Amino acid sequence: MNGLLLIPLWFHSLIVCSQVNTHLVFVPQWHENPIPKDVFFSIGNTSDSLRISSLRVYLHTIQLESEGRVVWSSGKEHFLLDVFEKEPAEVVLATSELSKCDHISFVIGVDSMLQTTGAHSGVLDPIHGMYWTWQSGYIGWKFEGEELSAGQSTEIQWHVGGYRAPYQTKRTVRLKIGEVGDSIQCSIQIDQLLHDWRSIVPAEVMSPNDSAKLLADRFQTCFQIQQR
Amino acid sequence: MRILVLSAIALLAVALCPSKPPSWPVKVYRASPIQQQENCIQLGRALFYDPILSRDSTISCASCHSSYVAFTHVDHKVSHGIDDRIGRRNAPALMNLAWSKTFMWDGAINHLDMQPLAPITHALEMDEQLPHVLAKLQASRMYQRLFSEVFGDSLVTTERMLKSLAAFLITLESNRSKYDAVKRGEALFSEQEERGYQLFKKQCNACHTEPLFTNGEFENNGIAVHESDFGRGEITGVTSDSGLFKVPTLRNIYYSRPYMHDGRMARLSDVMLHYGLASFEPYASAEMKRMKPMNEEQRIDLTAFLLTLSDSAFVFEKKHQYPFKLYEEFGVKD
Repeated sequence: MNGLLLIPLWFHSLIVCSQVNTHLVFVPQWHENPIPKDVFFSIGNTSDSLRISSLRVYLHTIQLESEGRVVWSSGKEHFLLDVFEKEPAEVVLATSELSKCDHISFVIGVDSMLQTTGAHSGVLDPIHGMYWTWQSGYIGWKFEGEELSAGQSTEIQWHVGGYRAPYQTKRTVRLKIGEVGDSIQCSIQIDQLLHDWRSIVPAEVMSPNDSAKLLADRFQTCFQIQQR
Repeated sequence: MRILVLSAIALLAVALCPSKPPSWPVKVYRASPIQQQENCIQLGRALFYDPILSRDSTISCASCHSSYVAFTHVDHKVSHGIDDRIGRRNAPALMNLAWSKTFMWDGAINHLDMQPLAPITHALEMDEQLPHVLAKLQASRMYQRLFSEVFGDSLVTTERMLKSLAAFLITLESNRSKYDAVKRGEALFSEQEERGYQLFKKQCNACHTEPLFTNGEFENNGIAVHESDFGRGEITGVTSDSGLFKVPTLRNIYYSRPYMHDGRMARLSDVMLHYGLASFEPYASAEMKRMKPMNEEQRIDLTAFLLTLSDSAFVFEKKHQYPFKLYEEFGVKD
């Protein structure tokens, strides 16, 4: 009798174990080329070069869609990507529905409710250096680096956050998936982020303001799904 | 005789167990069950008075927020922090914080839990970094025990530290002034105080709304704005918010001098003169423009009323003071 009970249990465990997670992997690129961590690399036809020391991004509400319908969502769980510190910079999605999906979306930043409800733990712990202590609010994403141009060095520090109007910087990215296999490789095109940046924002953006909004708009366009 | 005795007992009971007047609004801060436990409050109290939170262990929260003067920095226009660095704002008095939606003169902080992060990390105040604070606390025998008693294990985290501090801060309730006794029907204003109260209701209540004596909003009270400090405008980035500062409570105003966001008014009489002249900068809030000038007698009456907001029971409450016994037990030096 006990042996008979074991058979459905075995089938159940087989089904559970066969569920495949989906890996959403973020890859920083410069004109579709990989970017080395904390090392100067050439960024144009001139002798200009760039060194990126940090790119950290909060994501939440990751959703997979099929024909306009959400078939899977990560809910309000937040993820903190440390793109250059942890390789691969990925989020593991507990779903095997990827093959049926045609779009993925995610929100860059921190949910507004969590901005105003006090101390949190885990990835939202202020100890991660993504919370402004001088005024309440999370930094949605942080880009730090150094650009060498015409022999001059410029430290770039963009700490982009803000949940209050008119400087909300949360942005939703929605991308077509296409042929991706069992994981999604999503590139972050840094060349798009930095394209002609001197004409639109200063080298230091450290508070919710117009520059932060401009950067948030631009960063939203930097994500691309790499097709197989 | 029996009636007298019973009345005396009733009065004693009321004195020992003061109740809040029914007109108080609902608290904004929702304390968790753990935060309402005495050991959590005591942990928060230990943190509040401990200079371990600062870079060189010289500055505690109490350095600028002294219990004897309603948790402000008496006789200091602006506070000084680590290495005697001078800040730019007057330390606000701390009381009735559970009813506040925002904190600091510019409302920079939107939740009480997060308030301590600002002074802890500010270069002019405690100049410390959060990971280092947690490491110091984790290494402390005292805090290992205190955290363990509250949370079941000795792990020191940002959330636990901040919520413990909040647990202590929300116990700083001031509601036992003469004004409160009058409102409870236990005392009467003098004639002068009553005249001052009536004047208060006409002139001041719009911003310094009873019973908290602040509406919690941001106003411009007609003093000249210095270009080094635009108040609320620095936080919101909205031009029309420039020059607005959070309306402070008037409770315990006797203890909390000097006055204004930068402590520019040393005496209460200076404040009365400012409002009494009713001649404000053009960018003053609408409520200011509705004020009528007050003569000297009226200003004195108003002052008499404001002094009824002094709550000596709050100011001398031992439960809020330096935790001598706890620190002694663990050899924490003053």
